Amino acid sequence: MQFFEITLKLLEGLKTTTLIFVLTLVMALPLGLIISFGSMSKFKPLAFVTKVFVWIIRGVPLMLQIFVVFYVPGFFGIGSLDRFPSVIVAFVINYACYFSEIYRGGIESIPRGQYEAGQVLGMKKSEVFFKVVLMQVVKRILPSMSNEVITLVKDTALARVIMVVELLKVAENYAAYGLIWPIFYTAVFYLAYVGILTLLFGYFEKKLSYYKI
Amino acid sequence: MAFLEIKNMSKSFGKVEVLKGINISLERGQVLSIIGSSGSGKTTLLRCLNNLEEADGGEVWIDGQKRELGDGTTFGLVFQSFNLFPQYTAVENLSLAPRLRAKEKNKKLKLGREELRREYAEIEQKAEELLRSVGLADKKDFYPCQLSGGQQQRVSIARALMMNPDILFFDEPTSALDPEITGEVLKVIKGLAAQNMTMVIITHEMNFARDVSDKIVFMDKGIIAAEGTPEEIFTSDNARLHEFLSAFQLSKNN
Ligand SMILES: Nc1ncnc2c1ncn2[C@@H]1O[C@H](COP(=O)(O)OP(=O)(O)O)[C@@H](O)[C@H]1O
Ligand SMILES: [Mg+2]
Repeated sequence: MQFFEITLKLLEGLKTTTLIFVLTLVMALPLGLIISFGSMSKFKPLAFVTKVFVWIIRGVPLMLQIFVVFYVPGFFGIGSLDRFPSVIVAFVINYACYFSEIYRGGIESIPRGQYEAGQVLGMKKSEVFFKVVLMQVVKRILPSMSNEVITLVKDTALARVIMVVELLKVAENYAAYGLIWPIFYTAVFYLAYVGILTLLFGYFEKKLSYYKI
Repeated sequence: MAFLEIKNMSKSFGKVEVLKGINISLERGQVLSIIGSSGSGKTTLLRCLNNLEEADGGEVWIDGQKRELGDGTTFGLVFQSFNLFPQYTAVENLSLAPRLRAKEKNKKLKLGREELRREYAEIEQKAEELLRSVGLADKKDFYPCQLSGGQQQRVSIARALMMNPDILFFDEPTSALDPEITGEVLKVIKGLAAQNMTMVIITHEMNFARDVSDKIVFMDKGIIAAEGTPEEIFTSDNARLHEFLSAFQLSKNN
């Protein structure tokens, strides 16, 4: 009976975990592309500023970034975000920066000849990017993206540092009452989550295996 | 005035002068081959002509008109490394760019979906015809990775022909191919010559150049060191040309 109740509670925590996961992906995936364009810009000052920003975000623990987003605006009296939005802002910025580097690597790995072939056929730059290059980039970065997305699942547990009650926090709350096993039980949920994602990415990789770059 | 006139084209990379005032003329329907040792500026010349590189100076005239961007003249370029789009089939490689243009025109003139579908069908048909003409009708739904190098290069020639180019340029179209399959690509190019396609071909295949060309230019260190009919070039007593050609004979015989 207790097991059943606790499972339900943990599933509720998993809902928050999933919300962090989905919102982060939905916003960080496109934002990362924009940041990657910034870091590859021919306008040197923009490229420089973007690269420094990415360096800072990747160089500082995500946990610290969550604290910064949650507490620092308050210090300056510019009003502060609630706990959950703070987590989302920190996660989106952090993951967008990681994604941007993966995108950049992927985009720069596409041979110049692909752009030139498009150009001499009278295609516009944007057409070449979206119709020719992007698909190849996606194929090329899928393994690294899969890694990053799996890391995100586990990073969601960091939200508890500002008392956002996600999966692990629910279990931790039981530990405060001397009930330890739910903490270990959460592993089952994370493993199932990551298992599904692994299958999903495997499926995508297979779907794109009809051609070679 | 000839159909194609290249006047005094120059190009430097930094301090290195790669093209030092190139003048070339070619009549409609004729074939020009460019030979010369590696680093002499052949590729750069073709890249400047196809706007992949901006020339520092010089003009290109087509049919008595100075060529400008958007004047309706079309050049096709076939690359040494094919540069097919790997995620598209052979026929899709041919139809991609024309479909985009058709869609754009359709939108601008508000011609409607029906008309667009008709245009797409026309493009598809033309693509299939061109693939047939390069001997690849049965490979139309194959992806580049499923084709041999020679077949890929023939697809890329067909792709360049989709735009009905006024002039078709080739940059060493067989250099990336195994010797035993260069023949199938050269045959396609000879076929185009027989149909009076105006072509400019950079090549190291001397026998082919001799057979197919109306005119050959020999480039050396950014200038045209010799030019003439194949007959004149292969019997020339120009010292640099002689050296180049005999180096070729040597490497061929080894
Ligand atoms: N993008 C570039 N930047 C700097 N130098 C270049 C570039 N492209 C070509 N070159 C130089 O220009 C010269 C001519 O090159 P290229 O036109 O490729 O000769 P070819 O095709 O006759 O072998 C070479 O010395 C080459 O190193
Ligand atoms: Mg070259």
